[in-house]
Amino acid sequence: MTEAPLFRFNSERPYLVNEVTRRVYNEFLTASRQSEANALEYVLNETAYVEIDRLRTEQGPEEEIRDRGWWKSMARSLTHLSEDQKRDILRDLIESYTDDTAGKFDPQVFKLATGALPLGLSFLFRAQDVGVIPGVNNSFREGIRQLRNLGDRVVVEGHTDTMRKLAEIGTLVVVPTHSSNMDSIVMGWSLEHAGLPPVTYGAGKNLFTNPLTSFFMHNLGAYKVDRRIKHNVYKSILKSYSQVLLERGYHSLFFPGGTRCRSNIVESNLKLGLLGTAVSAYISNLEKGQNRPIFICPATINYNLVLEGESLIREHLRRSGRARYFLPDDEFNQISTIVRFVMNTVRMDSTTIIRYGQPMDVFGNRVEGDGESYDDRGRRIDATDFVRSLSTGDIVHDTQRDREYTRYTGKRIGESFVKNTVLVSSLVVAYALFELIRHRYPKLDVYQLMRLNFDETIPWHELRSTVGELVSEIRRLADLEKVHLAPLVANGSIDEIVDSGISTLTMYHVPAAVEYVPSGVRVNHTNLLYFYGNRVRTFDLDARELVSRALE
Amino acid sequence: MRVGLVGDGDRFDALVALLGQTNTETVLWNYKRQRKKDLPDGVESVPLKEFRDIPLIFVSVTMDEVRDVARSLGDHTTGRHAVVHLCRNLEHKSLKTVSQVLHEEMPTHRYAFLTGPMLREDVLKGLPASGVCATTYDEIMDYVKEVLVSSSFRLYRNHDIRGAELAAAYCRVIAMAAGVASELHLGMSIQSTLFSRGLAEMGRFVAYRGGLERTTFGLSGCANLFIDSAAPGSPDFQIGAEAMKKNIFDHNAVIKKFGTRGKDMMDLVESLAVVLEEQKSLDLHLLETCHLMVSGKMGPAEALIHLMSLPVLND
Repeated sequence: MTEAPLFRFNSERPYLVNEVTRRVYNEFLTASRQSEANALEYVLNETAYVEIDRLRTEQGPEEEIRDRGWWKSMARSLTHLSEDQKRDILRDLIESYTDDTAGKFDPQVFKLATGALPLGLSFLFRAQDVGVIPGVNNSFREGIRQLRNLGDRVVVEGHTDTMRKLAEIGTLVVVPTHSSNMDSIVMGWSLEHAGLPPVTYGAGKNLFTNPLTSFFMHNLGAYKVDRRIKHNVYKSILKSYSQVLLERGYHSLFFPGGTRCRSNIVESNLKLGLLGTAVSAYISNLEKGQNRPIFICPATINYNLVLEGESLIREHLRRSGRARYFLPDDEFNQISTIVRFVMNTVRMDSTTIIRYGQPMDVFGNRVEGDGESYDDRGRRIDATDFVRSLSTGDIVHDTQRDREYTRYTGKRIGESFVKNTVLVSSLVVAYALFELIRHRYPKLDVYQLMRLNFDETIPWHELRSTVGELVSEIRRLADLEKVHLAPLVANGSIDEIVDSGISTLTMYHVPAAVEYVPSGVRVNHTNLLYFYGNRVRTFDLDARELVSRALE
Repeated sequence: MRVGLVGDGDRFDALVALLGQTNTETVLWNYKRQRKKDLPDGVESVPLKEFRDIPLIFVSVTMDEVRDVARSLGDHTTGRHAVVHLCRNLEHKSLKTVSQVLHEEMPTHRYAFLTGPMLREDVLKGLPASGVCATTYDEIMDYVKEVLVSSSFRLYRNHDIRGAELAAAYCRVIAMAAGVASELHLGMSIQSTLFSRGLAEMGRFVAYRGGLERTTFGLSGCANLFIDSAAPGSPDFQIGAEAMKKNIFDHNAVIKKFGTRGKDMMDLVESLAVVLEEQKSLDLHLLETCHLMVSGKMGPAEALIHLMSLPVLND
């Protein structure tokens, strides 16, 4: 473990900052020489324009690289500055941004976070807060005891053996699904638990300023990504930083969904920017004579309950235009909610299943533990051939070709996400409940159902019957290896699945998504049922037919 | 430059002639073990293993052969290779495009589809022709341009390979309908109607299956349909005309007269018919009518009356 590249991060940090600064600066300088449209004056002016506009409305508590006054002053002076002065400004800017982006890794904190305190979640608590938090289960001492055993409740499964072998041969790029701000912490823990090396990852700037997470973010190798900054200089820095890290052999983690999935449907529309840096890094190393492969390792994070479930689905339903990256006041910023979540969910048999899919090379080909790539027919193939020029056979960068490769790899990651989704009882029951309600109100669309403020009770026999039909369907899909099922869903009786699902859905949200009543299950939150059920909706089942069959 | 060839047929002959016009060195994998006199002039036949060092391969085989040929090629090619196919068909039942099948069977990710108005007779006479190279890889386009473009052949590019493959296949169905109409000698108006409405239908089909509708109106859709339907018409057009002569779609007779091409066409119509059930709102009336003919549920003359009696549709 001490050999993991991240342990040398602090000593290499100055080099990394310098190298990224050099590359990005050269990129803009070269472009400015090739076309008048890319002159430094335009680059700086555009950057200033975007920042001035942003800072007019977004002056959060975060420290800004330059304040609005500086940008205005710089923009005004551009016409009078010499080329040398413009270069100096650009270089300083790039260096500042890069230095702000680059993270830090403290081996002591890593040891503490992964060893002594499972999940590191205890860091999220302060004793003085816990006593005054409403909604926390009374048995606090019991809760703390269970928390210490939380590691037993998080299941890590899938191709971890292959990944351990690959980590010795090349660089891992872990690409998980993303539904909670807890994901990076949970993933970091799961890697360590599986005997895999620690990874560096891009984390939203809000996580660096959030008092609950900033300690981890500042000390466990995360680098800062400020998604509010939209100008091209910053985007180039992020890509270049990721590429340099991969070239230097740092195992990395990206969330290819880009942001937390609002709907809870398994992500398929993946952002490919950072993924593309894996191809570029691979080629750059080959050009330098270093055939150190890069392996893409998809993973799914399967929660029974999602901490931010309520605000995510609210955002999903409300969203009509562009995605907002930052939910200003979601559950992750409320200490009491996090505590309630943890204390109330530690009682489950398993809280989370993390499943690692089949690793692939940067071109989307399957990779086995020997580090070799294989095509769909099982032939061993040489990955370096993919980056050879068609006409000359030389290893070359080709932006257009590499973009296509990245697009294809993204498609394969999306397929892997679906295939490695693990359906747990709460998702299955939520799906069945929502579809039963939809069946009762066939003329209402999803949004109308959400807006209804009704008191609806689903009789037990209807729920059991619908869950029964659904479980038959998803077990069939599981047999075809199109999805994975949690042990209870795969082997349990329908009653056990229903009980477990309902019990989970009553656990955390206030008011609970559903509650027990003598005649059945009363639904309080259709939006939460929709949110959790969406995981099952990924598999395109015929819900109407399924419910009709169940109620026959 | 040296390119590899696999296949036979009219379009293959046209391709060989075009490569000859640019003095491109060509070698052939004689996968059917044809007699030497049946192979194109000036093309050297080589063992498949020699293709390992030839980065660009053109493939023009029937749909039934695509998977097996691709699998064999896959044993001797790498991620560097690029495969350009000329097959205007979709895999039976699965409706996968040829490039999808190639991708499943071969290690490389680099594919292209070459199609368009490049009639064998015209090309062999040195008359002007053109084609479109549909591919998501610009480097393949550049390479194909190098080996094909001459003073008598223009090449266009299109990044929508999926749309191009779908459109080029769907044209064949419309051409068959045009063949039926031609045999009735009802004048050019009906031919023009079939051409126009066929394109509209094709556009809906292409968009539904994940291509771009506008691809329909390029060389892979519009130009192929024009040339397929113009006298004497493509084999698919002639299949329609032949059926009209007897006013019955006799499968055995079609196969006897048109060989594998006839079977290929009937399989295509049968496979496409799945979409009729899958998405009724697409209004694929010409496909539906052709399917009724091919499945023997409607005679060709009756089919034409059926088309003429459809309710008023949006143009």
